[in-house]
Amino acid sequence: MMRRTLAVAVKELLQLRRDWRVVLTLVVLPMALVLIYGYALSFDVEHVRLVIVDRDGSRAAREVAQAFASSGHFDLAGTSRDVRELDRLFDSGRAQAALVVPAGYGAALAARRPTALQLVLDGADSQTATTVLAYARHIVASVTPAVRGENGGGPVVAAPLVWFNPDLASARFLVPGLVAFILMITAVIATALAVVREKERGTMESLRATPLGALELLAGKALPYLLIASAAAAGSLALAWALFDVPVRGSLGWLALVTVLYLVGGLGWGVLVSTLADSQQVAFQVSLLSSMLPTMLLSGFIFPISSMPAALQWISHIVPARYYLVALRAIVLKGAGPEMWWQQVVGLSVYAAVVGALATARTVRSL
Amino acid sequence: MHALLVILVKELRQLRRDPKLVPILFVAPVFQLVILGYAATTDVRRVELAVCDLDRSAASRSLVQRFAGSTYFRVAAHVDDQTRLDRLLQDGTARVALTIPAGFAAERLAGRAGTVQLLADGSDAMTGTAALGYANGVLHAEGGAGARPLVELRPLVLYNPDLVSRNFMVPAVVSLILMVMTMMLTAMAIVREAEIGTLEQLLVTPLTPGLLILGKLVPYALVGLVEALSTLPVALLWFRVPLRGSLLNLLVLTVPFMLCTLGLGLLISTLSRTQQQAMMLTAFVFMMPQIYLSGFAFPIQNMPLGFQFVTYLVPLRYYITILRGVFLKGVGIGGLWPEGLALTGLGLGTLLLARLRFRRRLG
Repeated sequence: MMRRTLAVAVKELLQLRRDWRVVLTLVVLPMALVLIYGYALSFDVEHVRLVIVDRDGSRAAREVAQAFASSGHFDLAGTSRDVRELDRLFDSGRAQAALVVPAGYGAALAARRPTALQLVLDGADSQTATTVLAYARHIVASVTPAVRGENGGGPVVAAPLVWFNPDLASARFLVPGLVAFILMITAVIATALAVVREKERGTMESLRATPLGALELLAGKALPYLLIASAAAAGSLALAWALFDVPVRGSLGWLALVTVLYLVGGLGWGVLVSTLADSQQVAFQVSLLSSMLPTMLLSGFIFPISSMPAALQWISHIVPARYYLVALRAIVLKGAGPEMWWQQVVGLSVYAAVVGALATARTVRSL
Repeated sequence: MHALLVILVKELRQLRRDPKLVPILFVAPVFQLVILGYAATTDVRRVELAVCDLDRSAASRSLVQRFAGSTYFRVAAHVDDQTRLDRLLQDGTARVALTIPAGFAAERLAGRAGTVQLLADGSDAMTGTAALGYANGVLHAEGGAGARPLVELRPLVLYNPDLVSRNFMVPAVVSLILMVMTMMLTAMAIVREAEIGTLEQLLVTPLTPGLLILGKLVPYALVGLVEALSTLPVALLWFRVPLRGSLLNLLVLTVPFMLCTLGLGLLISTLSRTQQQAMMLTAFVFMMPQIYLSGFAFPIQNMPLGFQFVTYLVPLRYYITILRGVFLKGVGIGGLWPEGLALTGLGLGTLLLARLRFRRRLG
């Protein structure tokens, strides 16, 4: 069994060596992508284009405007005296937020009468808008005085403390997700195509004529890709560590184990897709759509799973990246031991086993 | 003209012959939009909160009650010992931990600030940031009965007053699906013929390369338009994304976008020898930049300046601006012509490039 599996693996490797572009794609590209997108992607909201409409002109008004400008979150995109001009600025996207200081603001403040500032926001991007509003609230609260209420009682304030990622840098959170995403696509597409190609060219028939069992054949075909994908994974994680301050607080051994388990599941899915598809075109469509989109959208990489409707939260359980990401972030960022994420290992193992069994069953039937 | 029709019919017939391709083309987009429309939400809700109430006073219970009653938090655990919070954050049971120290009520009664500790899991930076913001809002509301700030900040949210992220994401998902489908199909169309060897046969026919390309593109353009039209009802009726602009504007501006995706698909097919290469090129070199550098999920303004320049080469960037503009802001062609123009330019450019590559290959 072992020997025959290895023979298929060696044949596959020889074939891959002839198509060096594919190997290069499989190893170098994931790393390049982590590099590029690690730099490019960020949820840290900065450079919000702010327009200030100062209808007061007092010193207090200038002070609050100055506080916004120097907070580091806003870029002053212009000043205006006319509120009606804002429509145009927002429609064209030149303004994302506008601070309107009403006439009489300075006078009210001097007399210690309650007054209000208005913040106009482009809500289309609700996430950015929510963050901007929180920044603005903080700025206003920090530069303007407070009064005691009549019914007594002090205010409630928080002493916030952020763990695992103290400056809440989004790179540390996104880069592990990116690694999981890229590895999944590489693994699924590579194996799916490798098997379908043989089918299309008719060489699958000759392989079937050999005394190879279905499992031996599939394992042999997937093994070289597991090696390649593991190399890509190691490279990508090393880059994340070296360039993006993604610490590896937990054990490297566990990290390797979880990663290989994840890759096995991905490769298994690729093989399963290839047994279902007759042409490379269909195999590609199915493997891309079934790996790229769910991994991006249903794994917690970008969009929080806890905010999804219950039905989707259930569906997300069949997306292996979901388990991998939790375990990866736990090991890498939190330095947590296996007792914290063993459920994820169970999830990954079940996925790999089910997908592997289905793929073998399909192959046996078609033989 | 007749020659063109012949190749059109041939291409459509070939599409129909692959029985697994038809459901992929027409059912998958709608299905995807439904799933992705629900999944692609950046709203942070029901954040798991662990509470450690060391004060056990009416005031502390009232504060916990306020957290539990907000839609932003869900109390996942109560503990009596602060050291147990570590574990809850590590294994992910809780993402935020609230500790109310002993003496909290007494401090507040004395008119001083009652300080609580908020411990947030920063490993998910996005949820962490949002949760801290919401928590401050809850604390502010709880303390509001006491001290009040002199200056109130009144937000006025345009276009999407309830800040529903779905309104922002669903139009983008529509554009994404449209791009993925049309680009992939076209990319495979020519490489496949080359790999099977039937391209040679087509070349000995009296068809000029230009006609050949056109005949290959038009069916996929039709498929793309039908897909766009079939996903729109889902966005409008199912997800109730408001359509403030005109549908006609939207369709008119879809044409230059399709020019780009089809042109890119064609370019890929001239760049690769095997279908496998074509697929890899599509996925990594042409598709991922579109997804990540288009502002679909990651705001362009957050990117380093160099990347911001690169985004000008990404057709999806313009199309997403167009879709969000038409859907949410009700902007017409008058406001979106720069995007339309950029798409037309990019589309013609890629088509020209593909045409040149194609000729070189023939020679």
